[in-house]
Amino acid sequence: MIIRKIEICNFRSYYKSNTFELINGLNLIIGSNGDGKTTFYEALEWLFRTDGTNKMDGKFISKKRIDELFANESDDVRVAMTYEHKGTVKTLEKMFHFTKSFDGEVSTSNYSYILTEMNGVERTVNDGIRFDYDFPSELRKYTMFKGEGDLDVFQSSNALKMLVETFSDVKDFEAYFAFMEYATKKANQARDNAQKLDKKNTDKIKQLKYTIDRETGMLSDIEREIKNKENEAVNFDGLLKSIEQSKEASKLLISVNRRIETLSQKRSQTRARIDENYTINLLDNMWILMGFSDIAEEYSSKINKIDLKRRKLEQDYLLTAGADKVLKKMQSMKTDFVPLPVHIPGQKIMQEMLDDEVCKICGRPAKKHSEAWEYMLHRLEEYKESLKADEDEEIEPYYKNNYIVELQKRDTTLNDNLSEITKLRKKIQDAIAFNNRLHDEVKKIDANLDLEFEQKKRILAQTDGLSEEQLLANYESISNWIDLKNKAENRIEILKRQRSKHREELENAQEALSKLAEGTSAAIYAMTALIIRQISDAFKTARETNKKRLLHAIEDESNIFLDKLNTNDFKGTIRILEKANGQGEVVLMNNDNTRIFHPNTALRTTYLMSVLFAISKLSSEKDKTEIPLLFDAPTSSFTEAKESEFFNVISTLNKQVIIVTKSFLKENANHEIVLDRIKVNEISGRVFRIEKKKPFDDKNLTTIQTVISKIK
Amino acid sequence: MADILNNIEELVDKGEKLIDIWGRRKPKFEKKYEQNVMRVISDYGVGASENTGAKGKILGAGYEPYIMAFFIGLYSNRRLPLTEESDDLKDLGQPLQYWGNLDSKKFRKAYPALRSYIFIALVAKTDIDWIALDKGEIKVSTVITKLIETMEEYANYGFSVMEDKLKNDKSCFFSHRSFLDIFLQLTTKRTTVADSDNFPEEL
Repeated sequence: MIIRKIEICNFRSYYKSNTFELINGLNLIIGSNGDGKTTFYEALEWLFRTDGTNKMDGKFISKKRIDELFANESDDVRVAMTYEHKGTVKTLEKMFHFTKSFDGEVSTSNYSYILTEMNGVERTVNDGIRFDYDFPSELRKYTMFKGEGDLDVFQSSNALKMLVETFSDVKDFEAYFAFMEYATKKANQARDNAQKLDKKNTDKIKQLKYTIDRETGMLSDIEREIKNKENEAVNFDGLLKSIEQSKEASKLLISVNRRIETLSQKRSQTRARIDENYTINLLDNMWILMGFSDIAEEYSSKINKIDLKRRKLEQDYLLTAGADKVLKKMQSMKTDFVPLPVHIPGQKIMQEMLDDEVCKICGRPAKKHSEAWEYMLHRLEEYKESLKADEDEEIEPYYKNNYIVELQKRDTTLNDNLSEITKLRKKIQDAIAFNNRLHDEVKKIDANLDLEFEQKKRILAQTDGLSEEQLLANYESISNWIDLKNKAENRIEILKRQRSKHREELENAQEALSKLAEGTSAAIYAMTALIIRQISDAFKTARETNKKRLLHAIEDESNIFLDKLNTNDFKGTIRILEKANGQGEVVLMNNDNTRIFHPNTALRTTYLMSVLFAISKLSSEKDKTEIPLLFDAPTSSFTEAKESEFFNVISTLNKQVIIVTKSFLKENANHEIVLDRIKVNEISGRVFRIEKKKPFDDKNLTTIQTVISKIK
Repeated sequence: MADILNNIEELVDKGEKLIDIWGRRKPKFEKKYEQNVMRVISDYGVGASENTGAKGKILGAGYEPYIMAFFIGLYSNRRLPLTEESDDLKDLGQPLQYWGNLDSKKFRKAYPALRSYIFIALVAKTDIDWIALDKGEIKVSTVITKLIETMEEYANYGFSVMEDKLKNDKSCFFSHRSFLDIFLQLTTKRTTVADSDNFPEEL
């Protein structure tokens, strides 16, 4: 099939009628973003749709044309393709009518899809669905490709099966399989019936038939299990392959997560050390006393004054009271000054001063037994004495209360504590500084955490579609899956050995049964049954061989194309594998027979395209008809040099290829996108340039129109 | 650090001390501060609770804002007589002798000694004829009343300061530095400790 002409009329940006006259060979349709490349591709997709869906859709209609129409005026959306098939020229045309109402609404009507055939002067009009006869819908799958991602036809689960059915003679065998099964059954029955007459061997025949039934049953069980295990192995293999690509990401993710965990722990530990309960500390640790020294001093001087006055008054009273005992007592302590109260400076301090032989109040030494030392000893004894209850208090005390003593005693401790109170401020300062340091530390940890989270985001963004959970789970699953896959494969090995053993048993039983028939009237039936069985087996083998031959043929052809498309580059070897579940896979192998898992995108594109070219070539050999290949932007990952080389190779292939691309465009001095004429001239084939008609309003779709110019 | 500060009553006789008599009193405050200050920053009126933090309150029992108010007044050296309208006054629920005991509070530390320092401050700041007291010429209760009066007046000034701050910024006391900064600022002039940038003296 050769496409001669494509007409697109009022289809989206294709305003009014636009025609592409195509050649048998390379056809390039060059346009920049938004110039109508994809629309061209979609117009053909719409035209090729024979399933009756998407018949009329308002979104197909050219906005510019709608805008231009007066009320009640109408026009058509139309896509037509004229092609040559087996010597006949045909036109496939899909169209519908659209009308603009008075209120500006657009309605659609009169859908038609027809295939017109020209036989000399005779013109036959058929339903467009008949296009399927010339270009089967399953084949179209191998001819139209959108972008580089779309090229792997074997991604679809039944692609290989369809390919084999379409291109090999296997399909022709299918009809025979059912018959052979029927014939085998009948032949066996006939043989069995004939052998019933053989009374001599009844037991032996019974035994053998029992063996045959048993072995047949076992074989079918084994076949079923093999199929199950093969599916299992394929599944785990697939899972492992999916991990193969993400293994490194999983590993990185795990180490990033580990670092995040460590940092988070450190962060919470550091945070926990921050004690900024300053308000609570004011109370619980009495930080609130930070300004108390002034008040303490005020208290001390006030109380000391009062205390002094109190004692002076008491001393005077006691002196005048003149009790002998008291007088004596007082005389022993009489000094020129008012002595300190006996509890001052306190028992502990006094003992310490005696031990150290120094008066810590005046700072002078007080050697043991010196006058000063003795005085201190006396004071200590006096204090101890004062703690004992006064046995013989005779004089009425001057004071009824001892509240000033209480205040005085409190002052002693307060003085001891004064240095602690003055230190509070420094302590608070230190606590604040310490907390600020911890805050800085937390900030640093946060910065590191941010970096790790960034890294994590990067890892997750670059593993196509896998979530964090999946990545982590995958990593943990690897050994498990390898295990399960190996188990399945080992089981398959065992089952296959069992199968051949049982096959042999079955074969022997069948043969023994035939032998028993020899020389009897059943001999001819036994012979017939044997032959039919052998024919049936031959069919089965032939089917497999045929399929293999087809795949090898595609492989061979693909590698020839790959060689051409990648002349000066590494290319590897294309292999088509059939997986246990019947799905196919196109892979690239290194010469040491290991698989290349991640070819660069350009290599991947060329090897997948090579397979498509090969399929297309085989199809033309088989049907004596070409199928055109249509690609939308297949070379976006190619370098310029590689691209030119690629197009040149394609132009020598002698097959119709239509490529919609934004290659061969460059920016000129005025920053306009223009065609690179020199490069275009190097290409042999037809070249169209499509672009938006200027001027246009970049905010208004009704001003957009694709114009086509044939460059060569 | 507070271990040393806690020995304040070590030497004082065990008998009926002035501080104990004082401790049985409940100081008064102006009712308006209950709603405007106490309930905003403490559990006052909510009953004993272990969840001060969870409720967003920064202080526990009602005496805690009272202590804050008292020290603000003390360090500012400003006394503000309470209104004479006794209907507008209220006794604090807990007598002074229980202040700082914090028996039921988790994550808190008791600070009973602080009572003694408050007492010391009151003695320092109140004009009393102590000799007359010891001679029995004036009643203890008169002296105690005078001490309590001093306390109430300092606290009353403190509450007025806190109320003003809350009027300007409802959440001003929810910053962990709010009270600390107030006290650092109030006590800075009195100290010779070299200050660092951590202290906002210039506020």
